[in-house]
Amino acid sequence: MFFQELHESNIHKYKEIVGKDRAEDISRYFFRGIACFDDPDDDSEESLKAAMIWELKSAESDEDTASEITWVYDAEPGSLEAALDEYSKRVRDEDVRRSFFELTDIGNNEKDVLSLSGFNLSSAESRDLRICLKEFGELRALRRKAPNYIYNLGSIDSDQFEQGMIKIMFNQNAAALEDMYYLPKEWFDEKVSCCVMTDGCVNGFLLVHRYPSGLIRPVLFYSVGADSNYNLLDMMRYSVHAALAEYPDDTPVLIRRRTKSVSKLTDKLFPGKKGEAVISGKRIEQEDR
Amino acid sequence: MQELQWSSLFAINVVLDGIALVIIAVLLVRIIPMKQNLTEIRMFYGMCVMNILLAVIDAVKFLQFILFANNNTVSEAYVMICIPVGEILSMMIVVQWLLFVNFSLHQSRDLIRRRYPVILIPFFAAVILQLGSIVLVIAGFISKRSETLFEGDILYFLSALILLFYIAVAIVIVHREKKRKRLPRFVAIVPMAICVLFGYLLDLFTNFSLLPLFLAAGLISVEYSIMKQSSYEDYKTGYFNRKYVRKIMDYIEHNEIKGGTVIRFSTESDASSFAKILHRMEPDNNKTIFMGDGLFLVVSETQSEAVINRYTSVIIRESERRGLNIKEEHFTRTDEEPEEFFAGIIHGNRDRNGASAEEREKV
Repeated sequence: MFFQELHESNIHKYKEIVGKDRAEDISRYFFRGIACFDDPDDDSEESLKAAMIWELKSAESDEDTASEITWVYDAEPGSLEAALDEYSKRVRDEDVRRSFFELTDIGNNEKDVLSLSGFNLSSAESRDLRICLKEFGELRALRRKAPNYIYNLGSIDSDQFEQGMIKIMFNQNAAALEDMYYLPKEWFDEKVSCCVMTDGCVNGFLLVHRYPSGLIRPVLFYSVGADSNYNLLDMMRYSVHAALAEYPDDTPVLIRRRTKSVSKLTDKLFPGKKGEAVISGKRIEQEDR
Repeated sequence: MQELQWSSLFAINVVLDGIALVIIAVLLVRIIPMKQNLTEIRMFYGMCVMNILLAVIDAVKFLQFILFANNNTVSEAYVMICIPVGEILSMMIVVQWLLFVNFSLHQSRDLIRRRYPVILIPFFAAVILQLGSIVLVIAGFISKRSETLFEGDILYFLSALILLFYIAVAIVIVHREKKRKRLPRFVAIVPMAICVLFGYLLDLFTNFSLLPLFLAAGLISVEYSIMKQSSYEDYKTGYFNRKYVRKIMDYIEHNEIKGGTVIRFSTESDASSFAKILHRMEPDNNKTIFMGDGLFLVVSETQSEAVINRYTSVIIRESERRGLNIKEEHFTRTDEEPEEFFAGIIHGNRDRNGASAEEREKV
């Protein structure tokens, strides 16, 4: 078996299989991917046997590094086992202590292979909630117009953006993305993302990313200083109004319930809303030091 | 005989107002030379001027009682106008004090602009009612129908309620901020709150007009807060001065705070230009101290090396872009005593792992 690393320059070859959104992710700082072929001279999409994409978690924090497998592809029996072996080698090189995943689009064959590779599998409710943009527009709390100190992301310059990010960075739980502080301002949807300005400085962000498929995902929702709770609500109002003006009502919005406070908020805004059924799994890669 | 007793009472009230004026004069003389906290000082001037007006109006009221024995309609009308004006002034002092508390805590003009349109609604409503009562007095004076003049009690209680509301708001603001930020602070709200409450109660239940005097006493605590805060500040950089290190050490020790990081920035360039860069990127819970001679200490609660590295690299890059030469080192506190930890950083004999150079040499 021959393995090729997936990256920005070759991902276009497998876009059909990988999907537009995952293909975009591969260019990001902590995303890794491998593709598996029989013939080293033929790395076309048709000859792809297996592939995996994963993201390193807590790689730059003081916690142990983990890896989240975000996608697996198995075209031929036996190939995914080989890809998983290669994955294990690569993550150990990056000092990953444990691996985990939450996948929706896997078949029985992939499940068996993952289970045999040492992953403890279980069925669970996804931490991701998919909500239609229209449903946000129907929320009573968000109907009011946002005040004039909430600014569109496009209206601030990159210096102000960086200054705001620095302030927020000190709270490590603020960002939903591992590479949040490496992403340029342009990566975020500048029409829908917004910030709050206090005394000429950025004090909070609601940053939204729009994937190539049209999916919208809020990735940073945080405000510092006094009145931060009011600012959060105002930023939400701003972004919902901007998104409704910009995109169709049926645009899906993905909210990852990664902390208790996010779950509490989604429960309050959308009571009874459940995430999709997923297969989750975890495995220890290396024992703790 | 009874008239003589009343005259003595009026005279005592004039003297009390005089004492209030003297106290305010002394406070103003003490605070005028100060260079720091100018916004807070302006707010303090506002409170003083309003209290002077309150004391003067009150004193004139009692003086004309002594001189004219309240036996003509002009003096009666003056008294009836004095009451709502006094109420408005005392409410204005408390509102100004609330603004002062807010600004001292957050140092943000925008925050005040955003919060106060809502918070001030009861105040403006009460002012309109008080002005209405003045119009009634004037109307009564012109039409010579004095029965319209005596409707002041309800307004008095209304003012008292509004004052209580603003005192409660101040307490809530300070309490919330205390929960949000684990840092030493200088705003003392209890003395002023007690003075306002007692001044009002004694005004209501005794024959002595004590509100101007009690407000002046409350202003002593406000001035003390400003003075205390200023003594810990460097007015050129707008940051705390080296005296604050002791305050932080005591605070860490008293609250048994563990961990944290101190970043040491030193510059031979212009310290105030570097301070501007730091100000723009100051995270919520960091505190910066200017030690003099171009040395800044940034005290942070975080221990994350990644966060600190990113923060310092942006600060250094920004400084270089502006032609400033900056040196940086940071130190993470483990289980050492705060005094030992800070002493090593300030004197530059501590390495980045937390042990002092001398200690390492011994090892």
